[in-house]
Amino acid sequence: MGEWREKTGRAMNGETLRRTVIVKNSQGMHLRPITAFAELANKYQSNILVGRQGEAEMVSGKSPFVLLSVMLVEKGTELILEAAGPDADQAMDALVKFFDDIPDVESV
Amino acid sequence: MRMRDFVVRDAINPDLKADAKEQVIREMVDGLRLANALKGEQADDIVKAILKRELLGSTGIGRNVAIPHAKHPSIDRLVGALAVSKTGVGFESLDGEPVFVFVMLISPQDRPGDHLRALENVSRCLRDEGFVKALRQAPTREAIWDLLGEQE
Repeated sequence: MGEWREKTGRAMNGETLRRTVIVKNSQGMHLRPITAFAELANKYQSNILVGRQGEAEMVSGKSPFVLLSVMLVEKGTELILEAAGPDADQAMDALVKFFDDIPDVESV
Repeated sequence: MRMRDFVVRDAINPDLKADAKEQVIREMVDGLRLANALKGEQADDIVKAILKRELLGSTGIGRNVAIPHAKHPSIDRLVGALAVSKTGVGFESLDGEPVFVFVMLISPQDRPGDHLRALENVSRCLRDEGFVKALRQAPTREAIWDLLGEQE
């Protein structure tokens, strides 16, 4: 089992992209969308960080376990996404779109 | 919300007999039924709902822990169970490792906020490797209940 760091620094190269997304689905960010988010983030080389709007803590977007500490939020919550690395643009586009595509009615 | 707010004391199992996913879920739901936290006629349907949820993606979130869960219309308040396997169970976990500690959550249909707060609490507690180790070594239901009482 790889070591999942609770906090990660900025990527070594390139600028850090930063976007705010709003959780729109009625059930909020429960376990399944969080693991799906981590799966998607793992498709990219870039360093991905996630935090809550207004809070300093940013955690790795690639570890479902550590994402649970910031991402279990209700509809209407703002989350901050950061991406830095060779494919940061593509990663950020895909991750922002992810929030638009969460089905509104689904099981937990 | 704390673990003791939703984990049913009499549904704590320090030594699961089951050695496969479906059997673990049945044994834990049965524990809730025997603790009178569920009615007999609800149990089968709740097992089905939890297994259906597992098909969408394992709730084995890594680090030897899993949070099997479901919403069910017959439930009017969040109930939880906690079980420990001494041998570990293959659970198709995200990190491929066997699961030793299971926290089951069964939520009412209409309270997504409660479900998220419980999940958050469980995942926060289970991130503490010392806590998970202590759960795995706890010899009795009472010892596990005491450990839950020490958590925020």
